[in-house]
Amino acid sequence: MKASRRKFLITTIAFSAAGIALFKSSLANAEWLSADFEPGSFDATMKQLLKGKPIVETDKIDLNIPEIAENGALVPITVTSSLKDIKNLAIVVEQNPIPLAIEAVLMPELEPFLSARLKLASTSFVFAIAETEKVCYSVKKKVKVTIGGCGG
Amino acid sequence: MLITVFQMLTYPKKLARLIISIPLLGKLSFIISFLIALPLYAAPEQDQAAFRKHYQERFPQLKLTDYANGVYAIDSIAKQSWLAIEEFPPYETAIDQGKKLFMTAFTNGKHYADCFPKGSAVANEYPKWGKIQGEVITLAKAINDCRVSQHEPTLPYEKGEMISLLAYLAFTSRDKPIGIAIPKDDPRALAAYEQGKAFYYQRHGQLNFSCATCHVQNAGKKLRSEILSASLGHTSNWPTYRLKWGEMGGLHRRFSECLTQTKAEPFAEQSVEFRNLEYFLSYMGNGVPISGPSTRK
Amino acid sequence: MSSIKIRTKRLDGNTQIRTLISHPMEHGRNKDKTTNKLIPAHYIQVLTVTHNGKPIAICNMGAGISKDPYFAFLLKGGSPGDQITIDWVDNLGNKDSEKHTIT
Repeated sequence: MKASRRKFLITTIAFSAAGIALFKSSLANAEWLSADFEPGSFDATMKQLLKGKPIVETDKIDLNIPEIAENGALVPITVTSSLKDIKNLAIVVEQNPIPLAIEAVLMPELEPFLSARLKLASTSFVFAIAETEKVCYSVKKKVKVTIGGCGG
Repeated sequence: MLITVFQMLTYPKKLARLIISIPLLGKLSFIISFLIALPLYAAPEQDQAAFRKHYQERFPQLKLTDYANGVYAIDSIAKQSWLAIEEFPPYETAIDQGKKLFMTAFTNGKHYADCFPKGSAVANEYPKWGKIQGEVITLAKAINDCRVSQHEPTLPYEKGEMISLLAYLAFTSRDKPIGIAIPKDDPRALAAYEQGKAFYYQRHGQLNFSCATCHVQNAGKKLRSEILSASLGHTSNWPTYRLKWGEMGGLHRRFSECLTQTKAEPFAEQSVEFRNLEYFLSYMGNGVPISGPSTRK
Repeated sequence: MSSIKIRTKRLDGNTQIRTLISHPMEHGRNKDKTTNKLIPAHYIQVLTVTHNGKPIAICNMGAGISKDPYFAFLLKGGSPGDQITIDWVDNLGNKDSEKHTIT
């Protein structure tokens, strides 16, 4: 009884410590990172995102985005993954003046899943970058943006 | 000549081709004789049957109700992202605002419901022929007529409160089939319909396009990168959050845009020309369910 | 009226959280058609999702997100009565917050 109670206490402390650590990192991230959202090259954006970690192309991230955009002003995107330890999910549009569209810190309470609606300035590769402890995983898809002259 | 006119009425495609092929003076006299001859040879019922037959032949896979989805009924790639947007569509705020406005009392204590005794779910009944006014009453006009009768200032037609009200009325009318009547006891109603019809088939602007050029004869074909939608059901999905506008707008704003795109002079929203056009087009779409408000590209 | 709408849906034991926000998301390069002047940048920078008081997602963004932005997340588990809060702050310092209870 005593032993199990001690074990319970230890686990609780361990968990809350982890909780605090996570919470701190999330607060740090809550400061909007203006440098990440400056107009700039795709390469510079990627460099900032990867933080020196190696990047690996994967089929474990599913990027659901239309091949042909209805209108570049609103392109629905959904990213899901079977990878377990994703901390951070970013969406990058190669040809946009500001390539980084969104960077989401996802706590363990969430499944690796994110839906959003993007602006695409022109036909472009769209990347989903998932950051884990040691490695960043990436997947890309090309989206064609046509000149929306008419339609409706 | 009579036989030709009759054929033309059933085959607007041929009519348009013929109109281009004859020289200007001939063209004018042809159009005039066509307009005069029209009420004699085609009742609205016949027009409607011919109009539908054209689309049935072109899109045999579509049911009448499918036309409420506009171009997405025939463009499967575009339909995917459209459905993703409709999951949580940007027009929802307008529905909420419209509901609030509809429920809010005027200064005299009365409500919109005093003008619309059947409630808000009446979008499928408009435009109506206003026998007293002697003109076509669109839903937007009915809203402003209501305001005037309650001593309230009219609302601008293009955006804001008017569009939100229309969004709410359309939302509560969803799935109700469009049911437009052209009363036989008032020849002015038929004349308004005929004017709308003439506008629809008449070529406009520097590009010399009619509404029918794109949306009847070339429906389903590509204009640059876009698939042209069918006219059938064109009045079912309003108001619309059009991605190109980045906001909600009404059917007449789209009419204006179509005219501008074909390099023609647009008319004002709720002008007689546009109301008559809406009357004709809505009558053609009788039976198509109301799907507004909606999102379009 | 709040700028934020929240909806939740139970999906295979998880809870989908969807939100739609009314915001212009102007990137500062658009021109006002009538005045021909640049429309100043005005966009959400940070969006936070909180579950029973604990932040579960922090999203940093620029104006590469569409006007009237939409986001969806998938909460592991989740039970009726759980509180979901969504907050945003934009580049002009405007803020909004909305609460939602899972049913």
